[in-house]
Formats: sequence, structure tokens, C-alpha cells
Amino acid sequence: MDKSKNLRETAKTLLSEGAVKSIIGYKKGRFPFYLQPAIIKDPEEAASLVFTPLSRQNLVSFIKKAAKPVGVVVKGCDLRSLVDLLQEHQIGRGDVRIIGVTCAGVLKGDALEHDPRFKPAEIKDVVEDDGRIKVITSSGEFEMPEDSMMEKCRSCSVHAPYLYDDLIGGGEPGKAPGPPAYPGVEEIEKMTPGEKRAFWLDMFSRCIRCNACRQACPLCFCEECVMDEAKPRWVTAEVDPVENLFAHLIRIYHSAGRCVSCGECERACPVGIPLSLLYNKAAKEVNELFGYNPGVDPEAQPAMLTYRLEDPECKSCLGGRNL
Amino acid sequence: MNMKFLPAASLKDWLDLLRSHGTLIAPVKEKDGFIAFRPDPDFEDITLDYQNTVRPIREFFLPHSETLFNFETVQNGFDIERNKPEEPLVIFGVRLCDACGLEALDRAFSGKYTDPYYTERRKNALIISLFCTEPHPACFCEGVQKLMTGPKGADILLYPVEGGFLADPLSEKGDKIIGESKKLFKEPDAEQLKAKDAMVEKAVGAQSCIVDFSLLPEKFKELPPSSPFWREEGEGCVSCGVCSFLCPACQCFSVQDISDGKSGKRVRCWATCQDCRFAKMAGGIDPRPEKGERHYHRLSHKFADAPARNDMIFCTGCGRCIRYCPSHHDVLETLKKFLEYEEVKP
Amino acid sequence: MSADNPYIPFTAEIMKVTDETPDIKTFEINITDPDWNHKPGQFLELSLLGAGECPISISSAPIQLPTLDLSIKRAGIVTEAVHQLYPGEVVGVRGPYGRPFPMEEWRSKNLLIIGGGIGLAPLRPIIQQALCQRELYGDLTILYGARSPADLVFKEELKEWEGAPGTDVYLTVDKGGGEWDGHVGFVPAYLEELGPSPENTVAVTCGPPIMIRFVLKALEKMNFTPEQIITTLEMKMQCGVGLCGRCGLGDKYICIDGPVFSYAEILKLSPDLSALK
Repeated sequence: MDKSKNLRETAKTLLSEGAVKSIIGYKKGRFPFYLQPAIIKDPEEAASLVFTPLSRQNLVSFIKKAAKPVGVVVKGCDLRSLVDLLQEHQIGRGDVRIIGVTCAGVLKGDALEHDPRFKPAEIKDVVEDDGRIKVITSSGEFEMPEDSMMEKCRSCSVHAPYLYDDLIGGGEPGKAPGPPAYPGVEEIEKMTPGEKRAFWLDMFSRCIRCNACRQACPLCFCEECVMDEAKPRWVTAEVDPVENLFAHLIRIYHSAGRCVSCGECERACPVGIPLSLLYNKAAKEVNELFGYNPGVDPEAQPAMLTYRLEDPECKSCLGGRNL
Repeated sequence: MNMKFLPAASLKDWLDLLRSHGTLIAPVKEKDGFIAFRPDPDFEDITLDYQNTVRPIREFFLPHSETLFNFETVQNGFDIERNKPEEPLVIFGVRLCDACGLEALDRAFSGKYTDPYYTERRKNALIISLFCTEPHPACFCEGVQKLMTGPKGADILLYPVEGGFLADPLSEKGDKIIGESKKLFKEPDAEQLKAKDAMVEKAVGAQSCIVDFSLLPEKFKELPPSSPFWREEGEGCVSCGVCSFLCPACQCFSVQDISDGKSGKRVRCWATCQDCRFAKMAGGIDPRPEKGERHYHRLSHKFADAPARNDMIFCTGCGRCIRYCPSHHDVLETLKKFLEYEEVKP
Repeated sequence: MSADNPYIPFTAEIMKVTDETPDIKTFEINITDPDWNHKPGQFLELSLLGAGECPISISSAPIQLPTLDLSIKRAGIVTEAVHQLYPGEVVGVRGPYGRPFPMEEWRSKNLLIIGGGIGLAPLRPIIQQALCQRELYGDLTILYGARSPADLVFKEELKEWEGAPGTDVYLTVDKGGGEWDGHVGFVPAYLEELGPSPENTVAVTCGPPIMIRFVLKALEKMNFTPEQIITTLEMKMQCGVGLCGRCGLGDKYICIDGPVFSYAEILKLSPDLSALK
């Protein structure tokens, strides 16, 4: 089934029937190896929408400013962040039309640039073909290996969205997924504290504090971020490995139990800091402590917004748990 | 100034000689494949196998964070201490776009007043460029600055040819440096010169530029930031700082004091005009609350105001703002649509 | 000022602090640099080491040197910190910066000064200088408004100006009350009501951006040409020396090419007047 065609038809109908005022989707730009967000209002613009293995970006980030009711194209993983926004009353269910798309996985940001078989300039198109990702180039067609997909895709349990108003790409509707797989976290957990410190200080030495991680995060919706606050100034604007790490530690605590491991922060990071490892670690802890699986049930209370008498004491983490 | 040939086998010796002129900075590939300019690398760690680094060399001249001075409050006043002068820099492997960025910053930082920190580093630095044989499809340095055929900002430009490099001294300083290590350099032969010309021609042909930059200043006057064009144009932006922080020709900074109450430092850090707080003033007035207005500001600054003020477009065509933008916003696509856009007058 | 480094401030002692309004104080500071020479319309960078730095317009005429006045509204971190200071304490300053008002060009012309709120601060040096060299200028008309009677600055001086030769002072407040028996209404509306003649007159205005916008409109309606209207865009500036890139307005920087601009210049630089937002 041609998802893009299916998507365009649905989007056109939704806009022309007035079911939504705007739709957030993906469109092609000048380069066949990038997609851009498309925020459309006119039914005619629906023709520009596509869904391909380059549909990496989590479009839920654009939802707050869009004209409502808004239709948003979501993959199963993106849906989790939308559910979180519903839980936190950042958007009403009636204001959002969930256009869910079944997804076989999307490519890592640099997968095409670093493939030795072809050059970026030769790429003509990137398509999904029966669950496989194919790159069509001027020198032939190439199937992309599994490790060219984003980490989250390789352990994905939400190929089909479990909550939607429209389902693009057919197939069976998804089931409410279990917690994400937190890929890579175990390896970091195995490191000694000294190794961890060295690893992260090294990674954060690349940080230029561009705030792309925060700006791209669909759950970073605070009007005034603690990192920008000038009085008191919790975090300086300086680039400094410790300051950079500190800034992220604040974000980690703030997003623990809310972060749905969509990987948008890592995807947006221009200098390749593996931020998902940090955020996944917090998500994993919350899941193990409270059994909470974020972004699944719109009616559920996020772990950090509830208190139950039977909640485990933090002794369990202080007592030998390898944080 | 004459072009010379540096055999590949002599590169190490030459770099060792250059180390005596200051701290050598060169591209290094890290474990996960990330390539960045690093100070004082071992020769074995220097890589020539890169299209370009993610971070331009601007940061060595205008560091992300820089202490303007340290201060201490004393009885009836304060003491101010400026940082000591630094070692001169020798930067090897700089792409033409990044070298050209320095040319832009040279102009930005020496107007009515001169920035002493930038100027001092720049004056003492030696920039050795490496010709880009395979530009990325997002590159447009030839289109915007004619860099492939008229490089700017570097002291020496190396063209990789069979068996070594053709070294083209672009400045007196570069000529002198080559002259100092005469033994390592040879006279180029006709074939090498021919190969170089073919390389330039091929690289120029690999780039596409879809915008006539000369039309932009007028157009920016015609379609101000309040135009619906800009409102729509900004919608897909996440308002991060990638486009400005990775730009070789962005100059803006903000200043803050970091202090324990008694002593501290005044620090300047890069600032991005895409941040909604950038233009906000004390008291809360915000002249550019919309993303599109901020895009207008960034682009008009680079393509209309800088040419008028500094006689140069403040964009070097490096393509980073397209490649690393979380939304892959395409500056050329925007400018092209902008030039084609006609406001519907009611 | 450090000759080679425009970022280094020097110390200046606070001589006197005057409470102007609930959130505006005037600080008289002593400048020890014998070469310091500012003109009406210029500003300086005020430092409170630890809190930061911000541009502040100089609100006294050069004749007052070696002291000068800074009338400061509590609005951000630095201004908040300055408000905690007392005479005898020191601040850091560097400057003076910016293009001043072209007062030489205004000789023998009538001056129409239109201020709103703290916007009277950069205009005060013009008034002081004109009163000091009274014979050089024509009629002096001052129209000044604030949110409430308590928000009017330079209250004592306003009274003095009223009695000065060839000078008219018109005051207005957005909202009256208490003992206020003067005019109530916005500055631009009062301006239209007064209807000053554009003949041989220069109008100089400063105030909140929204007020400036409407004042410009009103002046245009009264047939003032854009060349006859001068304002000072005390906004967006940070470093003061044209390097930090923040106060760009078209191909000009407010800090070094302004802050004083004629309306004609602003129209050229910012056709949709977003400069006045």
C-alpha cells in the first residue's frame, strides 16, 4: 500500500471537510535524502505530503502552536509523546486528529551520508518496500541494512499506532505497547563510575549549547525554561563539560517518567551526543521502580504526578543500585 | 606568489615545522566517527578523509564561551584582570567556506570599534585550507562567494593532487611560511597544475545554486518581517540555535557575569537570533515574537544588511544550516521562494 | 576607558540617588576621566560586576560634568541591582556611545519635545542644554505624559521648566486620581489636541514603542515631514560598540549608528516600522 498516497487522500479530505484547520506532516524538499515538516492549511497542499523511511522527525513538537483542531501525522513511537501531552493537558483530545501511520522503521540521520556504496549526490529517492528500506541512486538500488535504522526502530514494538483517528498504511491496528527497550543503556550501566564520567564528559565536550535537544523535544513545553532563567541563574550559558552535563541532568530529572524515548533529542543534536542513553536510563529507572510505562494510556497519571502509599522507597536506589 | 608542490611524504615534516609557529589544530576522527578540529594532534590521528567538520573553525577565534575579564570587588571599587595573550594558532585542513567565514568575522569585528580578543587571535593565526574535492549536495560556496575559484580568508590553500599537494600561497604570510621550508616543497609540473584546474572545474560543477543573491537586498525591503510569507516560512522551525551556532559567519554573542558575589568573570557566549529571548528587552518588550520574524532577521542580516554594511554576504555556502537543522530547513529554497513570492494586495 | 579594549569598564562613584517614581531612580555619578565628553542623546554602558551590564541613556547635559545623571527604571537584573545602591558606592561605566541629537542643526528652530514615562530621560539633556543656551533656539514646547501622576519623572524640574523663558510644558497622565487636576489622556491624543505647528520646528520624541508609533502618526497628520521628526531607539542594545550583533536595524546598528534616528531614516531602515515594536 502506498502510504504517501493514502496520507494525501486522508489529509485532503480532513482539510476540505473542515475536520481540521491544519495538518502537520512531512514533505520533500530539494534533497532526496531529507524530509521537512509540512504544516498545511489548504486541501491542495495535501499533495505535498509524504511518508517515507526518512520520516524521522517527531512532529508532535509542532502541535502546540498549530491552528486547532490540528491533524498530526504520527508513528507509533511519536504517538507516545502525544499521549503524554494529552495526559498533561497540554492539548485536548478534541483539538487533535491523530493520523497514525504504520511504520517499518526510519533511517538514522547520517546513515545515507556514511554509506560507502553511494554518495549523497547520487541519491534519487528513499522508499519503503515491503518492510525494507531501499535507496534508489543513479548507480542502482540499494537495500539498507538493519543497523542503518534509528536505534529505537530496531527494538520497536509500536510499528502500528495503538490510538488514532485515521490509520495510514493499513494493516492491523497496534496494541498498547510495553515499555520501550532502552537500547544501549545496559552497556553504560556496566561501566564503572570513572568510565561513565569519562564517557560523558568526553561526549559533552562536543556540546555547543545550541539547545536543539530541548527545542526539538515534544515534551519540553515550559514557557520559561529553568536553563534560561536569569534570576536565580541555575545554569550558565557557558560551554563547559560539567555545566553541559548539569544542564542535561536537570532535563533528565524533569523528564523522568514523561520521556517516551522517542529519540528526538538525539536526532536533533548536531554533534552526535547519544542523549537517548541518558534519557532512557531515567525512563528505565522509573519503569522498574513504579511499573509506569509512559505515553500509552491517555487516562493514566504520569508516575511523577502521583503518589501511592505502596510506592517503593528510594532506599532501593540508594542501596547499591547502579545509578 | 608561486604555487609549490608538497609531496605527501613531506606533510608530516611540514606540519612539525608549523608546530613551531603555534598550536597546531587539525581535523581528527573520533571513535564514533565524529570529526572535529582538535588542538595539538598526533600526526597519525589527523584525518584528511572528511567532507567537512560539523563545527566550523570559528570557535577557535570566537569561542562559544570566552572570559572578557575577571573581576574582584575591593574596597571602593573593583579590580579587573584581562586574560593573558594566547599561543598563536596554526589551523590545518580548513575548508574554503570556513576560511571565508573568518573573512566575514574580520569585517564584523573591526568596525567603529574593534574586538580585541578576536582580532588578536586572528592576527596571529595561520590558516591552511584544503580544497574540497567532493562538496556535499547542500554546499553552495561557489554560488554565494565564488570560493572554488576565488578563495578568501586563508593563508595557504592546498589542492590534493596525485602524490601530494599543490600549495597556493594566498597571503604574504602564507608565502613566507612556504618560503621558510623550501626544502620540503618542489616546483609543480604541468600535469599537476592541469589536475588542479580539472579538480576545480569538477567541484564547481558539482554545486548547484538556485538563488540570485544580488536581488535579495531589494526584496527584503519589499517584503518586511510582518509579511505572511515569513509567518508561513517559520512554521517548521524548532527555534534552536543549530543554524547560527554552526555558521562560520555568525558573530552574535550575549554577555553574562558569573560570580560568587565577590569575585567572578564576565563571559560572552554565542547567542542565536532564533531564540525567542534574543531580542527580548528588559521589561518584556519583544520585537520578534514570531519564528518567521526571526528568520527574516537572520536572513536579511546575512544577505542584505551585511553586504550594505560590510560589503560582503555573511554566508559562505557551507550548507551546515541545511544539513544539521532538525527540520532540514533549506536556506536556498527559502530565498528562492522569497524572490518568487508576490504579496497578494487586497 | 581602556584604549585597546572597549569592554573594560572603569569605576564611577554614586554621588546622589533621587527617587523619581516608585520604579525609577536617578543616580548622579562622578566621572573622573577628564577626557569624558558626552552630548545629549548619547548613552553609556553601566556595569554592576556580578549582575551584568546594560546600556543606559545619559539624562543630564554635558554642562553638569564631572557628574552625570542616569535615570534608571527597574526592569531587569542589572537595573534591579542598581536600585539597591546608595551614594558612596561605585558602579562600572564605559562610554559615551552612540550618535547624539544633532542639536547644532536645530539652532534657531522651535523644539517640540514629546516624552512618555522613562522616555523623558534621554530628552532631558536637550531641554537642559537649550535652556542653558536659550538664545540659540526658538520656542521650547515640552509635552510629557506617564501612566499616573506618581509615574512622572523629574517632578521638580518640570515645574522649573514651566517658568523658563519661551517654554511651555504640557503634562498628561493615562489615569488621573489623587490631587491630579491636570490633563488626563494618552500623549499622542493630547498632542493632536494641542496641534503644534510644524513650521520651523523639530519634534523629538521618546517613550514606550507603542507611544512613539502613535506620536509619529499624529505628527504626520499635523504635516510634520519625516525629516522633522527625531526619535531615539533605546532598544535591543547590548555591547554598545557594534560588535555583539543584537541591535541590528537594517544595515545599521542602533548602538553606533543611532540610537538617535530621524523618522525619515527609520522608514528607510524598517519599512513596516517593526523597529518600533
